[in-house]
Amino acid sequence: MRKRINLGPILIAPGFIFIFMFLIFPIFFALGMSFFKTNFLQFVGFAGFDNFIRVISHTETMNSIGRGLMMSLFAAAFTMFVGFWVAYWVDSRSGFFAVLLQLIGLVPWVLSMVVGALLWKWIFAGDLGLLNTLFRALGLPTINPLGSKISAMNSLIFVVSWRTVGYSMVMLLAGMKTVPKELEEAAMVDGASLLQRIVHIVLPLIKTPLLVSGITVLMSNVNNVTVPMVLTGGGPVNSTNVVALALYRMGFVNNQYGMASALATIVIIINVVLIAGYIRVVKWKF
Amino acid sequence: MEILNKKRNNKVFLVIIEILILSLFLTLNIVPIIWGVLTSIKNPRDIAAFPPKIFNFVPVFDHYRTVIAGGLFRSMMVSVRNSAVTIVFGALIASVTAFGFDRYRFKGRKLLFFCVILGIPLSVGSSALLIPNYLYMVKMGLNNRIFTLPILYITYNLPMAIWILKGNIEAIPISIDESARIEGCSDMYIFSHLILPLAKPAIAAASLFLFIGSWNEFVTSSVMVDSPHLRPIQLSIYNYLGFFGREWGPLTASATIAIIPILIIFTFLSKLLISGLTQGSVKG
Repeated sequence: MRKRINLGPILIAPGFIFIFMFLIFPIFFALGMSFFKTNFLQFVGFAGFDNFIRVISHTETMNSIGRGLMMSLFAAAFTMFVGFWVAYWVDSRSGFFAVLLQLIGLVPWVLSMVVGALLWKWIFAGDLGLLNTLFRALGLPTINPLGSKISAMNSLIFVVSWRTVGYSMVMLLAGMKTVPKELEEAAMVDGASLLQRIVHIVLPLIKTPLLVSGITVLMSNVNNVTVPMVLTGGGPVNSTNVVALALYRMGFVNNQYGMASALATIVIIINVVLIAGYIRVVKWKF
Repeated sequence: MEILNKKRNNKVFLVIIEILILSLFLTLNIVPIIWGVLTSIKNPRDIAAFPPKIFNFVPVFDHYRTVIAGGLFRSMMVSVRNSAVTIVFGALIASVTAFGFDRYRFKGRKLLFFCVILGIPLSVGSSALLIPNYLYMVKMGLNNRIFTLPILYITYNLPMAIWILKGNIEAIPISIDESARIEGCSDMYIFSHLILPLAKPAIAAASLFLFIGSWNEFVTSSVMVDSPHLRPIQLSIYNYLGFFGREWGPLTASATIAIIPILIIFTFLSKLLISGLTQGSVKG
């Protein structure tokens, strides 16, 4: 019988060419580039830590990091909170409404971010927008959600979380389905309140989907360029200029690629922290 | 009796609140789309009307004509082509890789699979990789080509696709392979005639992710391609935002066109999507 050659490495090679070239290698490429001076797309000499120093000493860029993290955290917290309660409700019911809720809940997540942000921009738009139409119909004064600094940020947080609530709901619901109903019923008989049941029974048992979806949502928010770009364009007066958008503009609008690489390295470090968390919590094995 | 009544009233009250909150949730999810679709078939006068016209208007399709004349159809074909290439090659590469990982033992296997797992969150953060990827593609002359976006879309969605397929292939009993091997079947025959047919649901789930990932992607396409004949639909919609400004008719018409394929596929395949999403967080 002829000896069977081990096809394993050959089979995985094509996939890894892609993964290494366009996912893993760029991380190191960004790191390397951040130490070079660039003129448009040309490297024109070693820069040491100059790019980093310029990023750190640029107040608006540093603010955008804080703003991006704050937006991401608030939006992720809001997403997880709403996602949890909807999932908890769906889990306790069956029937048409529960199925419908799960399906409709996932719709914003399958829509493209360009379309989602555009539709909300239209709802928020001036006097013609649906929101102000509703306000006028109710006899309330009209508002301009994207017009002032604080309300623009709130609108951004809202749209960003709107997009991800369905995802977290589906993840948490799948986790809740594995929790035996008897556990909660027994606790109820013993007089545990709703809050006690959730904190001591449900949450610990859905820890994995809770953390996996929480980290994924957080990462997706930190790196979200599209929604701020379409919805607010970073304005008014930089109030929604989150770090992902600032990075995009530094590179592709201002063509400051050296500085942008330094900022990209900082954003990648933030991502690495989150990825490390993801790897720890997701269940993968051989 | 009174206490009982009060309790019952309380309960009714809670149920009403509950229904209200959930209805609000449903409304928030669905109203933007309905409002967008309605806007897209109104003439400008009806769009500006107060009180808003919900059904009491004559639908017009002028905005669709405007955006199609503006090249939206061409962009849609670009997206169809990108998605098709991404799905076919992505699903093929992912299933071969997953098969290699599951059925063979080799050096560095664990480390490489770790890279796949790492790739899932990493591709979520692909916008941070955009700057290096762009410079790198430009240096190698790979930007603004017909294959530029499919290559990147395959890469960004490959880790998830491999992960879904690996989970499915490991559930196919190895005894099937062994008995086929005794019958004299080659490894590639086992893969193509035994494993692939059995992994069909997972291939479908992976393809769904590849499709959504490539159809909806915007940021990468906005920097990687420039020529009008390579511009996918999301990029065209974004450009319309600058071009049409506050003309919401054409804007919502283009948005409607872009979400139709996604909604059709989602309606039929949402179960697959959910099963793919929850893998790795629920079962081991």
